[in-house]
Amino acid sequence: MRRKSAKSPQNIADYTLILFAFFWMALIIFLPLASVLFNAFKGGVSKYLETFADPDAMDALKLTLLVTAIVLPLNIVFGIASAWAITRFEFVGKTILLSIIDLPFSLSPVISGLVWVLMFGAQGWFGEFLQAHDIDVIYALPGIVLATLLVTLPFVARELIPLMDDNGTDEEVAAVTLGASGWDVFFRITLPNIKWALLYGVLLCMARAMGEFGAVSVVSGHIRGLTNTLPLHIEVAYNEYNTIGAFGAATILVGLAFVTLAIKTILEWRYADELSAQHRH
Amino acid sequence: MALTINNLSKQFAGFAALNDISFSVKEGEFIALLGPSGSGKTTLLRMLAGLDYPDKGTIDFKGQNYLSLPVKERKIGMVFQSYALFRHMTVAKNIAFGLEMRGKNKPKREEINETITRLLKLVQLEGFEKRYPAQLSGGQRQRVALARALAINPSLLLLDEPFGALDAMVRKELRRWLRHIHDETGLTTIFVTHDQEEALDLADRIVLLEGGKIAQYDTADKIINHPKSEFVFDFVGSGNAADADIKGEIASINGCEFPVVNLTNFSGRQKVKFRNYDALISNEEKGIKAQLTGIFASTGFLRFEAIDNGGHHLEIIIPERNFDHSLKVGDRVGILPQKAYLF
Repeated sequence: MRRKSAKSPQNIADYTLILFAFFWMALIIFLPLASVLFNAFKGGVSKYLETFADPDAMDALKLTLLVTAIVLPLNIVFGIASAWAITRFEFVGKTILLSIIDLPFSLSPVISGLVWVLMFGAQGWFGEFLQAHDIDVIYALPGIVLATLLVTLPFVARELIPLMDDNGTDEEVAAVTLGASGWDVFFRITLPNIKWALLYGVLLCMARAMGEFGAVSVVSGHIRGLTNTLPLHIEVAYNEYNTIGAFGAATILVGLAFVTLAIKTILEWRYADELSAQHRH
Repeated sequence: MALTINNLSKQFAGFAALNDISFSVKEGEFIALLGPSGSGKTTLLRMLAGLDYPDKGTIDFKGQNYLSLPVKERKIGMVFQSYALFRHMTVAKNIAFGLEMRGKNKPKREEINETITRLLKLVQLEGFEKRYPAQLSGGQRQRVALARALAINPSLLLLDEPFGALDAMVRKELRRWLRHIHDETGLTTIFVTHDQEEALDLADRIVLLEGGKIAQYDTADKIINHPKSEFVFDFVGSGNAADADIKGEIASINGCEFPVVNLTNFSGRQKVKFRNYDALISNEEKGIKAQLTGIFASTGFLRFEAIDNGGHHLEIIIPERNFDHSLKVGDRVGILPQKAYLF
């Protein structure tokens, strides 16, 4: 409701454009999603439900949720801290920091996984040290977390930086002159102003953390029931011609994506007044 | 003296933002910090607020060393050009913010509500408690910002170009209204502006800054009629230059004699300056010989543009009722200064 410059369609060209948008969406998004459901239920509901009885699938789901639960708070803290540093201070190396934050976007996920193998793998820089102290990083949970962390690093920071830049520091300075401590300024002024951007960042980060395949594939070792995340489990099942198992597990990921989308929509709807009040300038 | 500033200096990356600034302000006085951009006026205000610190010098407020006090202990009400209202809070919550921050000394709910009502009445925004800043006009936002600053019962009110983002009509209206609120509260007030008209109209005294130094600290009347330097003369109004023969306090140009405020000991041929309203236009061959290049009507006066024999442009304004209607563009005229300055 920021701008109401949109009008209703008037001529054939307008309708064609709208129709094309729907058609394209159906082709690129809806059809593939429908095929997931179709394949998952091909053998009937009971066959589909067997997916949830498969201990490997359930272990993969648990691992995926665990990794997400570890990565998310770390990214929130890093995202806010780096956005704060970049938008609130002038310092040497600011542009470099900005480009580094963006790097994971342009890096192939395989590289994002491989770098950890090169560092912590048996032949890696710290390989001997880790082996001597009996610490598993690669082919274990820490490696999966590190790979996911690297891939999802930009999401929160990238949502916050433009907004915090736009908001400026005047409100924070005003709060200080009114007697607010640093703590108060952050929790009462800064955080409420960035909470929507933060939420979007968190949701994007969550979706990516749950769905990451490439980087995790390199460091995981695909050990069933131990280091297989849900996306990896799907691949394994598919390669073993367990179509129903693969697509059944895929419905879980699709389901998680829909839950994420639903949370976002519900929050937007619930706080619609507040949102429009704050953005109307 | 309520506020005494001594020898304040500040360097930013090699250039002097403030250079040995000293002045004092009386209790309840309304002071304008006036100057072009880069003159150091905002830096000075930020130092008073505790948002910036000088390299040298002292700020003393009612016997307290201000520089040793952190921002929150200075009890300063600050108003920003951008309003800086908390956009996610209602008007009432914005105003209450400073009181909520008092920790153990936080007033009771009813007291806070009373303060909100009292201040909204003062800034003429009764009934706006539940609005968000985005639902207010620029002028209304700045009035809420002022109410918020006054809520903490400040000992000093600082305003940083408070009307800079508003349109001309609202500016003028809020200007009178701010003066009214100042007179009602008796609060020592310092405001920054680059608009000389605003400063002259509003302030008891004006600190006119030039490149980090005080060019003049005086009342509006003194600054207008007794400028201490050519910079001051040029900054507060428009004027013309002409060569004249100086003898003490009297200058003459081609048979036209007029008083000159002589700030030098020079005599003989010198460049003097005079205000565009301190001159008459005659059709005699006296004073500065010039040709009229334009006559423009305005409300209550006429503005003449002319060019002298040396090719210099001159501008004269004359009240409409004193206008000699026989003058036309292209006429050769004599411009007769009535009062001039020699810097």
